[in-house]
Formats: sequence, structure tokens, C-alpha cells
Amino acid sequence: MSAFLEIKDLHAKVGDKEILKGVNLTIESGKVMAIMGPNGCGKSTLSAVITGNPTYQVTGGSILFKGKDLLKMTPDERANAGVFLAFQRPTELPGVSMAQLLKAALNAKRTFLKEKPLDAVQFMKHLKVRATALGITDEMLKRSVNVGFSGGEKKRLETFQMAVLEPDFCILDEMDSGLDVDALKVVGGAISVMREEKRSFMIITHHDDLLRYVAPDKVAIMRDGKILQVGDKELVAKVEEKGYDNF
Amino acid sequence: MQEKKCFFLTFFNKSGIFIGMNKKNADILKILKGGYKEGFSIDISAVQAPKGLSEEIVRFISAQKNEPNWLLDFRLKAFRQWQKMPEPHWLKGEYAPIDYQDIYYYSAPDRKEKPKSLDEIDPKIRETYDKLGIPLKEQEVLSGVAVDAVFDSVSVATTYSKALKEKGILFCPISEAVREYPDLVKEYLGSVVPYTDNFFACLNSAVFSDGSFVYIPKGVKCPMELSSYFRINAKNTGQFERTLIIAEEDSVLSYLEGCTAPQRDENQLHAAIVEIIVKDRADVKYSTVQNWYPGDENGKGGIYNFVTKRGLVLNDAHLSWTQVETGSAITWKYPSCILKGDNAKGEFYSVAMTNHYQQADTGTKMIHLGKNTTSTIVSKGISAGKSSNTYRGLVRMSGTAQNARNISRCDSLLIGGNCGAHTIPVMKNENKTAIIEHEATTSKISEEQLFYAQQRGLNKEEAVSLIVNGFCREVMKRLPLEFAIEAQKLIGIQLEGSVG
Amino acid sequence: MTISKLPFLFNRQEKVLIHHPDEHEWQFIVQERGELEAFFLPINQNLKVSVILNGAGAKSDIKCAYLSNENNDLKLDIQVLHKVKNTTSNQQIKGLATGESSVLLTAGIEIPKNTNGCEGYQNHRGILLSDKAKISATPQLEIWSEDVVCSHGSAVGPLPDDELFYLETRGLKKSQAEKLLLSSFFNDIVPGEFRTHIKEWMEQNV
Repeated sequence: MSAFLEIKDLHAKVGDKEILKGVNLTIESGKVMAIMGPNGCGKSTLSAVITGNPTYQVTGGSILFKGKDLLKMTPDERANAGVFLAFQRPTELPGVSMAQLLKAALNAKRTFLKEKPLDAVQFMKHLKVRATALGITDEMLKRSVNVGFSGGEKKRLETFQMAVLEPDFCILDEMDSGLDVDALKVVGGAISVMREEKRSFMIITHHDDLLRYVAPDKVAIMRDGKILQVGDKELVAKVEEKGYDNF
Repeated sequence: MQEKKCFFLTFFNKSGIFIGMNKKNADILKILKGGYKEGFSIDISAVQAPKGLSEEIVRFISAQKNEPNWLLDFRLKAFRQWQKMPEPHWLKGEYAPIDYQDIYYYSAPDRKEKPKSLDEIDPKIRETYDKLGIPLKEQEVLSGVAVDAVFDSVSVATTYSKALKEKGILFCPISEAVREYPDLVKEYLGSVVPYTDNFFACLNSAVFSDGSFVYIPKGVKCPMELSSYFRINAKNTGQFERTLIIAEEDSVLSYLEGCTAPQRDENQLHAAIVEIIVKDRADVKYSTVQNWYPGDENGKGGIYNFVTKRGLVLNDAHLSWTQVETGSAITWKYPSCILKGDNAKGEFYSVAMTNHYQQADTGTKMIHLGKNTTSTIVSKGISAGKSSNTYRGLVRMSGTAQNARNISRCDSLLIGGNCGAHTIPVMKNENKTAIIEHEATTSKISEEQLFYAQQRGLNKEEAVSLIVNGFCREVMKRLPLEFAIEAQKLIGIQLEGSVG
Repeated sequence: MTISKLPFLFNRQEKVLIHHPDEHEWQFIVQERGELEAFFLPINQNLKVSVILNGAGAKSDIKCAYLSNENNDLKLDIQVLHKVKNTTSNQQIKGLATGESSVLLTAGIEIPKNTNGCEGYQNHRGILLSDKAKISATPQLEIWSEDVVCSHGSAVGPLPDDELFYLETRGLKKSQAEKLLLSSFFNDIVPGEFRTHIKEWMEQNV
């Protein structure tokens, strides 16, 4: 049986600069994997390459997601296969409301799964339950996606989208940067609620803020475009104590 | 099987509340996948004037309509003036010369008298409306929409005039208004757009076929959105609609205009005039969704749309133009406001989308004459394919426009590397207390935006459509809701195939 | 640099300052990686500037301050053509009109087909100082290429009320406040060596 996510010898560059220099990583189903590393080590690039961001060119290696070759798929195909990215810096979509985006996204996924699109009532119900839980107001749903929101609000909205779209594989890129304790609790809580057998998480971070609220099953240490070590959650404490220079 | 289509028709009950559309949206999309399928034609033995334009033809048109002498004189004066005028060519675009002698200037459904009720309407025409999704019979039962539909050059049906009449509102074909309310027509026809105004307005004044007439009495709020539905049908028939709207003091009106056209290979000339008089404290909103046949992927065929739309806005009055322009091979259109009264307010909200070989040159003119007059311009241009899309505008603050204020914002979006987007605003300030402010941007959809939407599961085409509709939202939200939904779909349909 | 025959060719970074009462027409061709920085000061005189960005990486930065008074008619025409890809242009135009003078400004950015990666910016601010002065501005963008970033902004009117009010709350009379704002109006675009010309003009006309 194939693994949930299997990355082998992944190389990627932006422009002429090689950023991923042979990443090997396996994530099992139902697990939370933390990726820790100093700024510039390539961890955000890893999330971009998994999701198919066209800014990065893959120059070697493979990514298998539930046996499927992600590198052969377009970004939307990867999304509909169940890969979700909570962006570190979410992009602004002026004039497009969050409700509009999510309706289009949910229906795209349902079409992909050959299910009927949700009607307006079902959709609003699906949205409202999650919005309430995450403290997302109606007004936030009507406003343009990521336009004029504070850093913390944007992160909460990313988490909200994750909750609405219910993806199998959730990548959270630096969700804890710029978040206060209350917001961290909300995001951490959402992840805890969503944890289940068929769903895995990849939490990208450079310190332990979010990991205080979500206990990872495994921790990978990344430096200079490579995964140096994979261990259990005790690694987090080691990083906090000694920094990355000792890996 | 007959396909019913209705893009822009809105249904309201008698109290003006929207009650629904007569077409499932999903079907519209399905039908339209793969190209413009609105086109079809119907064989009606039309009463036609011979091709070409001469004084005799002008007299023929006037005689066909049993017009009074003053109107014939108006037409003849215009015709003589038109003969002296050169065709303007300053629009940013190119098209084959128009042979004005190769156009029919009059055609009418073969009827001696105007039908008195829907049942009297030529079954073939009814069939056309059915294909378009406007079964009039059904409409009358289902809805409170008052439709003044132009079929070829003669209005064949007007519904609900009676209900409006009770409020003193007149809504009828302009040909009928000439007979029934000659004093009103005589007083206001050509008062905002004189026949000497420009080449195409002059042509229209000479040969105008029919159009809508609206009169809202003092203090009356029109209880429903008035909607006029235009269509071009008979082969080689230029369409020369003439719309005249008079809003008396303290009145309120919202008017909708929407168009689709049958597919044709020949280019069809269209030169309409819309004149609006907005008296003291009156409020008029004029919304258009224009989707005439734009020509095929190779630029063959399509409508030439040369329109003059202008409103005269008096003290404390308000005129708002909203337009979504997606059709026509050539669009030449500048809905304007003459802000004559003190505190008058003018608005122009526009989305112009071009694809394939379409050429749009559109914008507005805001002429500030009164004190404390204000105007707002929001223009969103989207160019795709090999099209060219130009915003052209004029804001003029005359010496009398004390403390007048204008704000303009023009944004252009380019999709693909073979199209053009141009912005040509002219700002004339002749008053030191007046302020004109203009901002414009031109860009493409960013890679980041596309990736973000795709990461949420939308394919590239859906993502572009979503982002483009977001780009237009400021304008779309000015439209009545169901009009806006249709307009949004139209943008999506128009984008099909343009995303590489 | 010395002014000789038209057009001027630029292939390196260069700065030109122009206030020539006799010369109205200027043409610049900026070659690969050349950088043109030019300043114009038309006082009651016409101006026609054409810039062609002719090599990759070429940049132009055009600044223009215009002044018109009495019954002068000024025609200002500034055009930038991005002939090749990855070129950048900026235009900053500011001016004052008083007396019965009129100013007609056309400023354009043209980006033809297949010239990706261009950026063009344009900004104009005109202030009317008398009842009979007129400013007419037509900023034009003509874009035929997809991968571009372009913007223009233009405003014509009096000095901003809020700025005047701010100064009045600080104890300045309205006329003093106006003078202060006008004296600093051109500061961001006019090089030091030309400020005296502007000061002289203001003393005579404001």
C-alpha cells in the first residue's frame, strides 16, 4: 500500500536559485507532521511545490499523494484531490467575496467528486456552522478576500477555508507568525477538531508557538533545502532550547 | 425542441418586487458553451423601404408612421444636415467603410394596424419571443414587467402601460407618443441631443424607427423597473431606436435596457439615441446590459453600435448610468450628463469586455455647469483575444461650476498578449474652485491571484472568471440583482476560450 | 551635459536639466540599460518631449514643472514609447496657471505588442490660481501588451482645503497658508538650481 504522502529527492528552484536540494519526506495518514527550520531553509518553498505554485520550477524528484503523481497535476487538480494550503501571506482578490470564493471552490470539488452542487441553503448552513465556531462574522464573509484584513484575521480566514473545504491534506505555512494567543488557540482548536484517521497535517513553522496547541506526531528539521532529521515531538523542545545550529 | 433563452429579462410583480426568472441559469450556460448561440432568424414578410437613404425614404418612413408635419420637418432637417456631415473616424478602431446606400432604413412586420392585445400579435413574432425566452402571454400572467419590445422597426407590443397610466406614468413606443402626446414629444425631442449633435445622432434623427417613451409626472415614484427589450432582426436593417425619458420634478425612475441579436454575417449598423430630461430633485437610473452579436472568432460579422446617450440634469437632480457592454463588433458610446442645475449629480459606472476582434471605444462625458455639481466615473475595461478596448472620457468644469467635484477611476485588465487597453480621459478645468481627480491603472491578472484561486480547487478558467467578476464588482453591484447575475454569467461566457 | 542636435542618445545613466526659452522640442532615445533623468521648466512656453526607450533595462524619469500667466496659451506634450521589453518610465508633471492663461497638456505612455515586463507611471497635478485660468489635461495610456504595470493619476483644482485648514489652525492667514503650500508645491520634482526661477515667477504672479 502506498503512503499518504511520499516525497523523494525533490529539487526545485526559483529563477536560477536552487532552493530545494533533495527533500525526502514521508507523511502517514492521520498524522500531524511539523516542519521546523530557520528562515530561508526552503520550508515555504516545499509547500509551494507540493501545491503547484508556478513560480517554482521542479528540477528533480517526485511527490506521490495517495499514490498519485502530484507533479503531473495542475494546482486545481491537486486541490480537488484534497491538498489544501493555508498561505503564509494570503493573496488579495479585490471584489471577490469570501462566500463567493468558497461557493465556487466547494462546487468545483463536488463536481470533481461527481456530486451535485450544494444549493444556497445547504451552502449557507455549511458555512455558518464553521464561521460561528471560528469567530468569522457575516461581514467578513461579504468582504473581498484578504483585502483590508489584519494579519490575524487573514490567518483565521485561511483556517476557516480549510474547515469549509475539508481537505485530506492540510498544509499550514507559518500560521503562527503574527498571531496572538487567542487566535493561536482558535487555529489550534480547529486543527484538533479536524484531526482524524484519513486526514494529515503539515505544519510549517520556525518556532513552537502553534505546536503548544497542536501536539505533532512527528517533527522534521529542515535546513538548507534538505530534511536533516525526523523525530518525535521532543525535537521541538530541543529546537527551542538549542536553536537550529546543532542539527 | 425549442430553446428558450432570456438573458436580461427581469420579472417583478405589480408592487415592484422581483419574483423570479423564467430560465434556469444552468441551462443558459450549457446552451452557450462553445460560442454564441443566440443567433437565429425568422422569416417574416416585412414591409420594407428599398435600400438606401434619400429624402424620399425619409418621407416614406414618416408616411408609414402617419407622422405629423412637424416631425417630418424634423427628420428632413436632420437628413439635409447629415448629408453635409463627414463620418467621424476618431474612435480607436478600424472597420470596413459603411455603405449607407446599402442599408434598409425601414422594415415592419406585415400588419396594417398595431395589435391591441398580445393575442393579436403575429404568431411568428411570438415564436421569436418564445425562442428568446420572453413569452409575452406568460409574462403578462406571471409578472408585472412592462416591456416595450422593438421587433425590427416597429413596436409590436407594450404591456402594462395601463397599470402605469393609473399613476400618470406614460410608457409606450415613441411612435405612439407622437400620436398621443404630441406636445410632450415636440417639446423634448432633440432638446438634449440636437439633430446637429454628431453624424450618427443626425442619421438617427432623420430615420429613427421606433423606441421607448417614458414620462414620469411630478412627485411620482415609478412602482416598477421599466424594461425595454431591443432586438435586431431583418437582414440588413439598420436599427435606429430613439428613446425619450422625461422625469418631472421630484420623480423617481429606474430603467433597464438589454439586448441580444440574431447571428448574422453582414455587419449591422445600429445608431440609437437616448435622451433623458431629469428635472429638479428627480432621480433617474438607467441600466444597460448590451450583448449584441460581436462577430465570430475571426472578426466576421457583428453589430456596429454607434450610440448617443445623454441626460440633462437640473437642480438637485440625479442621473446615474450603469452599463455592462459585452457585445457588438464595434462599440462607440459615451453616455453623458449635462449637469446644468445647481447641486446636480451625475454618475457613470461601466464594464466593457471585449474578446476576439471586438473594438470598444466607450466612456462618458460629464459637463459641469451648475454650482456644487458632482460626478463620479468608475470604468472597468477587460480586453481579451485580439480585441481593443478604449476608455475615452471628458470631464469639463465650466467657469460657472463653482465648487464642482469629479472623481474618476478607470481600471483596465489585459488577458493574453494580443489585445489592447487604452485610457484617454480629457479633463478641462475652467474654474479654480472646481476639482477634477482621475486615476487609472492597467495590469493583468497576477500569477499569485490565479494560484490562490486554483489552490482552492477552481480551474484556470473558473479562477479567471471569478477574479474578473471581482474586478467588476463595483459596477455590477449597481445593477438590479438579477440583472447583475446575468451580467456576471455573460462575463464568464465571454471569457471562454480566452484563457491560455 | 551640453545640448546639441536632436535626438539625444543615452546609453548610461545621465541627468539633464532643461530650461531653454528658445527650444521647445526634445527627443530622447534611451539605449540598453541607459537611464534618463530629465527636468523641464516651461514658463509660458510650449514643450514637446518624446522619449523612446529603445533597449532592455532602459529607464526614463521625466519631471516637468509648468507655469503660465497673463493670456498665454501653453501646449505641453510629453510622450513615452516603450519600444522594447523590460523598460520603465515615470512622468511627474506639476503646474500652476493664473491670469487668463490656458494650459493644454497631453501626456502619453505607449506600450506596443510583445513588450512584456514594462512599467509606466504618470502623475499630474495642476492648480488654478485665478478665475479665468484654464487647465486641460489628457493623460493617455495606450497598452498593447499583457505583462505590464501602468498607472496614471491626474488632478486639477485648487489647493486642498484640508491642507489650508491645517495651516490656518496653526495660526496662518489663508493667504499665508496658500503661499506656504505653493512655495513647497514643486519641491519634490524641481532640482535646487531651478527653484529661483519658480520663486521669481511666484513673486510676480501670486
